[in-house]
Amino acid sequence: MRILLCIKEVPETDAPIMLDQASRWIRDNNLHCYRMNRFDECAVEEAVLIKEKFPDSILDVVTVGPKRAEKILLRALGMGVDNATHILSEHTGYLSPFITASWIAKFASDKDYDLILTGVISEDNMQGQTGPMIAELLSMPCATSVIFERISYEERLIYVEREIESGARHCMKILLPALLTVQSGINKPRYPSLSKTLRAKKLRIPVICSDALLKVETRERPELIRHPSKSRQSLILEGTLSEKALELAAILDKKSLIK
Amino acid sequence: MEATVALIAEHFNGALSPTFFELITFANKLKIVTQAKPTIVMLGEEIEEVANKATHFNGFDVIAIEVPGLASYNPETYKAVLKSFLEELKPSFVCLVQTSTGADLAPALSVKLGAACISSVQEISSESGRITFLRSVLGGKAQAVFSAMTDITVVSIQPGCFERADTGACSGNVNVSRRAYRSLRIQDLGVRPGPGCDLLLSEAKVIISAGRGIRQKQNLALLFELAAMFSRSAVGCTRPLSDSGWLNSGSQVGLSGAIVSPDLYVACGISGAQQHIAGMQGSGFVVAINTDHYAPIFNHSDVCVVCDVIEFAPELIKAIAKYRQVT
Ligand SMILES: Cc1cc2nc3c(=O)[nH]c(=O)nc-3n(C[C@H](O)[C@H](O)[C@H](O)COP(=O)(O)OP(=O)(O)OC[C@H]3O[C@@H](n4cnc5c(N)ncnc54)[C@H](O)[C@@H]3O)c2cc1C
Ligand SMILES: Nc1ncnc2c1ncn2[C@@H]1O[C@H](COP(=O)(O)O)[C@@H](O)[C@H]1O
Repeated sequence: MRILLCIKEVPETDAPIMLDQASRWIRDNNLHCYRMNRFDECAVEEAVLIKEKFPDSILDVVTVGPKRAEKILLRALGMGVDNATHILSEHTGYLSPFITASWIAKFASDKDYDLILTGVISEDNMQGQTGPMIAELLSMPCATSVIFERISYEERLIYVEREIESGARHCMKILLPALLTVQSGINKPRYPSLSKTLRAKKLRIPVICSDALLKVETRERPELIRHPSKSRQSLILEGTLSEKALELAAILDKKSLIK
Repeated sequence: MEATVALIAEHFNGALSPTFFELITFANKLKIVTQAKPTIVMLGEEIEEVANKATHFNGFDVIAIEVPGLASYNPETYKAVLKSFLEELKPSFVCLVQTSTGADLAPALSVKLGAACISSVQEISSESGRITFLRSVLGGKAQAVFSAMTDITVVSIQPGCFERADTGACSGNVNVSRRAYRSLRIQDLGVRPGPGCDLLLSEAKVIISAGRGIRQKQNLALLFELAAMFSRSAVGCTRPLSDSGWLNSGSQVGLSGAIVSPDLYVACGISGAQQHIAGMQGSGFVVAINTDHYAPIFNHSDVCVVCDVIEFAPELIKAIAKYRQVT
């Protein structure tokens, strides 16, 4: 089995983010802390689990991103991926999933992958488009939001369960090669091992310049970025912990919510 | 030729999907700004009856494509049949709902049609002829307004953002045609039901809900203690918590979990991603406790408490106990 994993760096979501009106997107700067998209960690884990079942498998990982994004490639290598490639793009601002997908599809087109895994969605862009677009560009069948998979290698088939509404599962059999977008809950991503991480740090990760791969025009663009509007009154309580607690209890009592 | 808008309608077991009506609301808004004529497009095995249902109360024409053997959603068949059909129809917009089906279809269709693709749209507006679509980014920490630069745009709308509106009784034409397609690479094996919502959760008047911000499984005990302060209460959670098995999946609130509307919803260490908000926005009163002043959940809360929930919960338990003694 030859497997390609697509992973993305995203800004840490717990910390404040900055908006950039010039690029009409999230400000791309080194004040933000970046990490691997959580759904992509599940994709990496799933690939490593497949390799444990089919030890001949080769796992490749690719990311499209700036120099900084090398960090998540190292993490994937530390989790047990064999090879990494960095498609370098110093593009700041919004990068359309179609562009990312076009670059990755171009990269993958001559490599005969049996399986390509992406996350179901990226935590920053949140479009869930990149995976299905790569599949379409490579004319591969695709299953989104996969929560279970089992490969039967002799038959060249993969059995998958896609998560659909209310947690129900849509079951299908797909002929390989195929692309799956991986939903969280499919597994528990492992921590990178120290020895693998140290080994990875000695590697020189090959870099491909995105512009050299393919020229692609964006098809949509952000016109504006702003902080979200409120759907409720959002009263912020002030004071010490116990003052806030007492005030909240008073509000709940007044609303007859404490009975 | 008159410009058209194709609305891809979902149906299951002979019934229209509940989100179908949201798609109609969106289409009516789009119609105002584009003047283009919406047409409902549906695929299926025995399609005529549900196609007739689809045209009621909106007056839009329906094009129903009967595909022998297509009992339910098969991604390969849908994409192939819709592609050839849409290439002929040449709509300016293809609209879907960001359901599991819509999310599967929209990006693929956009590639096939050379279209822009904008997902999970929450609002539509137009300024001097330019149509823009608002969507959440970064887990709801920001909203971005997008426009397309292509002749065709594939748009998927976020469920729960375009309320069903009654438009009065009127029906359009229903046109049933047939296309054969046999999926060669995907075999549909049907749907297995989900875990369903916990009975306690669906009937609770008060839900104390836990997110990743509670950090450790043992901290859940505090939230159960808080829940016990209320009658008819339950503990709910976000997806990462049910993923990790800290609570069972019947306790998960959100798009892929339970849709709840208790009198009181207390979000503890929950960021407020749109998939979570979709499950609790109908709650009567919402309190959120979060260390991050900018957590999106605060925008959807009546009362915001900026602090560590592990420190705050015991204080709140004490404070509520005081009120109970007084009354
Ligand atoms: C197709 C799809 C369907 C989904 N369906 C659902 C669904 O049904 N339900 C759902 O919940 N999610 C769903 N998700 C996932 C969703 O996108 C988010 O990833 C998830 O809701 C985030 O959960 P969270 O708020 O617990 O975690 P995070 O986003 O990590 O937020 C944790 C929050 O805790 C705060 N925090 C940290 N420490 C503390 C502390 N000590 N005290 C107080 N606050 C603290 C942080 O500031 C942060 O805001 C779905 C995603 C996809 C792609
Ligand atoms: N820049 C990128 N590099 C590699 N993979 C990506 C990139 N952007 C998105 N992906 C993959 O596509 C998935 C969905 O992303 P999105 O379409 O942005 O929601 C992610 O989980 C990744 O697996």
